Amino acid sequence: MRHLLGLLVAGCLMAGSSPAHGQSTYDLFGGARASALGYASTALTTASGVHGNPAAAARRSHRVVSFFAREAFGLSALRYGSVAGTWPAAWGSVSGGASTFGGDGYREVHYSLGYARGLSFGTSRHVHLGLTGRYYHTRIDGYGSTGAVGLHLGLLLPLLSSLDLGAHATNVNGPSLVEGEPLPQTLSVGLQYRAGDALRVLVDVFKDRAFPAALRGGLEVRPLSLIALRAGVTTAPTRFTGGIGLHLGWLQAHVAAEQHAELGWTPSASLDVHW
Amino acid sequence: MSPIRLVPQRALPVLIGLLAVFTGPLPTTAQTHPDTLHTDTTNLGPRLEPILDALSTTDRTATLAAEQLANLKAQPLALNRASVADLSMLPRLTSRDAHRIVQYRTDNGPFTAVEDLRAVDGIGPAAVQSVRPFLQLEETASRSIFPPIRTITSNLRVRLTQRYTRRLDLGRGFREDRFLGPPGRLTTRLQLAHERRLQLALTLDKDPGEPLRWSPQTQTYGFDHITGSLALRDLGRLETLVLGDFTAQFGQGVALWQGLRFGKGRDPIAPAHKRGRGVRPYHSASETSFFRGAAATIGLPGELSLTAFASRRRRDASVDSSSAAGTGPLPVRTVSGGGQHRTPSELARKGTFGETTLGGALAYRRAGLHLGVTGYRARFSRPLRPGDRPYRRFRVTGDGTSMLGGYGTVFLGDYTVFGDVARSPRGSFGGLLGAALDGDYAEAVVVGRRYPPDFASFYGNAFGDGSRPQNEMGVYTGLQLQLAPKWSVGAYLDQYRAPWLQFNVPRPSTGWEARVVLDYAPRPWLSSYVQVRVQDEDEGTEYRRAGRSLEGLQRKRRYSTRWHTEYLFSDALTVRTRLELSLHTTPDARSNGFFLSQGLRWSPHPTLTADVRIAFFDTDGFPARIYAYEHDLRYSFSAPVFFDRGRRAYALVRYEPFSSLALEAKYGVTRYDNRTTIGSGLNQTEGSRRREVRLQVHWTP
Repeated sequence: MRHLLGLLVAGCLMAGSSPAHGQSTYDLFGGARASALGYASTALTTASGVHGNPAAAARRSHRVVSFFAREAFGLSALRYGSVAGTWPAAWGSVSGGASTFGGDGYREVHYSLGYARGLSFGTSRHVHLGLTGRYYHTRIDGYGSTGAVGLHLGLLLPLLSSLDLGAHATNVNGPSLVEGEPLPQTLSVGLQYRAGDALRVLVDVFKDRAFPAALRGGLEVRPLSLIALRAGVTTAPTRFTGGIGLHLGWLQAHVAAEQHAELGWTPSASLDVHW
Repeated sequence: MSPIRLVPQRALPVLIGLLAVFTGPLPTTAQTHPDTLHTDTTNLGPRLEPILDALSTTDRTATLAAEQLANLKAQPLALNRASVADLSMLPRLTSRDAHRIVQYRTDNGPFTAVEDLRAVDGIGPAAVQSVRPFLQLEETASRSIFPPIRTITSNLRVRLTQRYTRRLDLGRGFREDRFLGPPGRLTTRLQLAHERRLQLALTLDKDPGEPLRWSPQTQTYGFDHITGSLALRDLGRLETLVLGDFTAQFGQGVALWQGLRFGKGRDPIAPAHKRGRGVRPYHSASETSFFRGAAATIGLPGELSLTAFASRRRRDASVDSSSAAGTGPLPVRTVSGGGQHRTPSELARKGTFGETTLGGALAYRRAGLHLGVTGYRARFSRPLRPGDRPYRRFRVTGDGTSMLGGYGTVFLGDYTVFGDVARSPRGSFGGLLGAALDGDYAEAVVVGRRYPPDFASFYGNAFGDGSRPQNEMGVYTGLQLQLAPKWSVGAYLDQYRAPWLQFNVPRPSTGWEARVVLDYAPRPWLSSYVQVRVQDEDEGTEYRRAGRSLEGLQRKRRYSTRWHTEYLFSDALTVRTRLELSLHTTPDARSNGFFLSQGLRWSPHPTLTADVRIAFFDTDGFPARIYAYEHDLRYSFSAPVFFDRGRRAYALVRYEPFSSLALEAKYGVTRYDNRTTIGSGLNQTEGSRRREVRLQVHWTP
C-alpha cells in the first residue's frame, strides 16, 4: 500500500497537478544512454532499447541485446526494467522486448515485437522505417487487470551526411485500457548532428496528446574511443541529465542520472551486448 | 469495485495492413516527369501554400486558387502567346519576370522549349521548375480563324470531375432535421476545350445540407449552384469573347477585380504587384464574385484593346421588411456571399438582390508601358440600405453604384513602377502606387495605398490588409535577398491604419505586420525554412467604468514561428516535418499554441500515390490558433485551423489506372482531448471527434 501511495504521489506530481506539466510513463525509457541525453533520442541512429524509435533497429548491422534498469526518484514503486533484442537480416530487422514497471500494488508489463527496414526507393540512400506492436498489460490489486495493443511508427532519414531526422509516433491506433482513457499518444520529431565520432548533438520536440510539449536536447562527446560523456536537458517538467558510457568491444555499459527539482534524483543503467 | 473491462482493440487489422505494406514488394522508382499528367495535382498544394500562407485564408480564396492552378495545369498557358498578366499569375513569377519573358519573345522570336526560359534575364532554374507544369509550347493551331467543325471535334479535350465529400459526424442542423438536404457535398465539373480558342465549362455544386430540387423561381435547377461559360479566343480582332459567367480584373484591382486575388503571403514580392488578366471565363464552385452575361475584348489599331461587358446576376440578401413601406421594392442591408441554402430562411434569401452591371476597359500596351482606363455602372433591383450603425456609414447605398479608374505599369530596366487610381460616386479618390526592383540577387517592392473611408468600391479587390479597398491607408515594403547559393531570406513590413470604424472595432485603428522567412536549400531535393511573423493591431473591447460599459480599443499582438522541412527523398518518397509555435497577447490575456506534424508521401507505383500525415496540436483556445496546410483532392486546397488540444491524422490515396482516369480518396479524423462538442450553431457536432471522407473521380477521355 505504501508503494501504491508513493506511486500516486509521484504520478500526480508528474502528471500535472502543479505546475501543469506531465510526462507519459510509457515513452521515457529508451535506455540509460537516452536518459543521459535528456531523452532526445528520436533521431539517435544507434539507439537501443524497447521504447526507442522503432526505425532505429533497421540501422543495426549486428545483433544486440540490451538490459535496462531504472528507479525513479529512489522509489522502489517506480522501478522499471526491460530487456530488448534486435536481430538484423537481409530482409529487415526484427526486434522484441519486454519491460515492467511498478511494484506490488500496481504493475505494468509490456511485450513488444517490431519490424524495421531500410528502403532506398531507387536511390543510393536509405530511409529507415519501423513498426512496433506492443501489448500493454496493467494490474492494480483490488481492481483487476486489463490489456491493450498499441502500434508505434518510426522513421529515420539521413538529411545530410552529418544530419539525421527522426520521427516517432506512439499508439497511433488509439488503444485504451479503460473506455474513455486512451493510452498515451505521442509524437516526437528530432534531429541528430554528428561531427565525426567525437561529437553528437541531439534535439527533440516531444508532444504527448494530453500534456504540454517538451523540448529536449542532448550532447555526447567521446574524448576517448572507450568513453562517452553525455549531458542533456528536457522541459515540461524541467530535468537535467548526465551520464557515462563505456565501449568495450562487444559490450557497452551506460549509466545515467537525472535530476528533477522537486522529486530528486533518478539513477539508471543499461548494458548492450553486440555480436 | 468492478473489474476493469477489456476494451476491444482495433489494432490487429491495422497491424496486418501495415505489415503488408512493409513486407510487400519493393517499390519501384516512380519516374514521373514534371510535365506529364502523372505528376498529380496534389503537388499543387506546395506551390499554392507560399502564396496562400496568410493568418486566415478564406475558403473562397483557397477554392479559387486551387481551381485556377489546377486549370492551368490541365490546360497550360501557351508560352509564345501568353500575355504579361497571364504569366504573372504563375507561382514565383513577378510582373517584372513576365514582362521580361514577353520582351525576350518579342526580341528573339518564339521559344522552342520551355527550358529556354533560362535564357531570359532574371529567370533561374528554380523559377523554370516552378512554372514548367503550367506552360506549353503552341499546339499546332489551325491557321484559319474558324476551323472546320471536324477539326474542332477531333481535337476536343474533355475533362469530367465528380466529387463527393461529407462529414461523418453530423452537425445539429442534420440531427434536428433543420437542413432540407442530405449531408454530402456534390460537385460536378465538365470542361471541353479546343486549343485555346474554344472553352466550354460547366460546374454544378450542392453544399452539405442543400437539397437537390427544381425551383426556377429561386434559380435552382437541381444543384443549388450552377456556373459555366463559353469562351472563344483569337478570332481575328476578337481577342476574347465570353458568354455566361466570367470575371473581370483590370490594373491592380482598385476599381474592378473579380475572382482570385492573393494577399500577403510567404512570397514578399509577387503578390504586391500582380496585374489583372482582363476578362476570364468563370466556372468555380465558389458562389461569389463573378459576373453573368457577356464580355468581349477586341484588338484595335495602335496597340489598343477594348473590353466591354454586360452582366445581370441575382445574389443573396436579407430583405429588410422593417423599413417604412414605400412604393418601390423593399431594401436590403447587406449582400451575403456565403452561398449556403440549407434551411428555409437561407433559401428565402437566395437571389433576392439583382445586379445589372455594364462596364469595360480600354488598354494601351507597348514595350515598357501598359496603360488603361476602366469603369462600370451597376443598378440594383432593390435599394441597398446598410443601416445606421457607424461602421456601415460609408458602404454602398442606394439603387446603384459606379466607378471609374485608370491604371498603368512602366518597366524601366530592373525597375517597375505601377499604379492604379479610381473615383467613387461620392467623389473620393482611392488608389495605390508602387515600385519594384528585380535585381540578380535582390528583389524589393514598396507599395503605398490610400483607400479613404468613403471610397466604396463595390467590385474592387486591391492589395491591402482588408478584403475590400476601403477605409485603409498603408505602406507595404517587401524584400527578397539571395544571401548565398543555398540561403535566401524574404521579409516584409506592412503598416496600416483605418481612419474610420470597422466591424467590431469601434474606433479608428492602426496596425502593422512583419514576416521574415529564412530559406535553406542545401540540396535540390532538400529544403527547409524558418518563418517568424508578428502582427500587432487594435481590436475592439469593452471597458467597465463606474458600472457603465464603454466601447474602446486594446492592442493585441500575435507571434508565430514555424520550422518546415521538406525532403524529396526520391520520386517515390517525400517527407515533410513542421513545427509551429504561436503566442497571442492582449493587455490582460496571453495564450500559447503548438503544432507538430510529420507527413509522408509515397508512390509505390507510378499509378499509385499515398499521402499520410499525423499532427498534434495544443493551443490555449482560439486566439492562439494555428493554420496548417494539408494535401487534398485536386481542385482543392485545405488549410484547416487548429485550436484546443488534440490530434489530426489523414490519408489521401490517388490511383490512376489509366492516363485518362484518376481516382482519389481522403479520410481525415481530428480528435480533441478537451472538448465534448465541436463547432457552433447548426454545425455543432457532439463528441470529441470529427471525421470526413472525400472522394473524387477525374476523367479525361
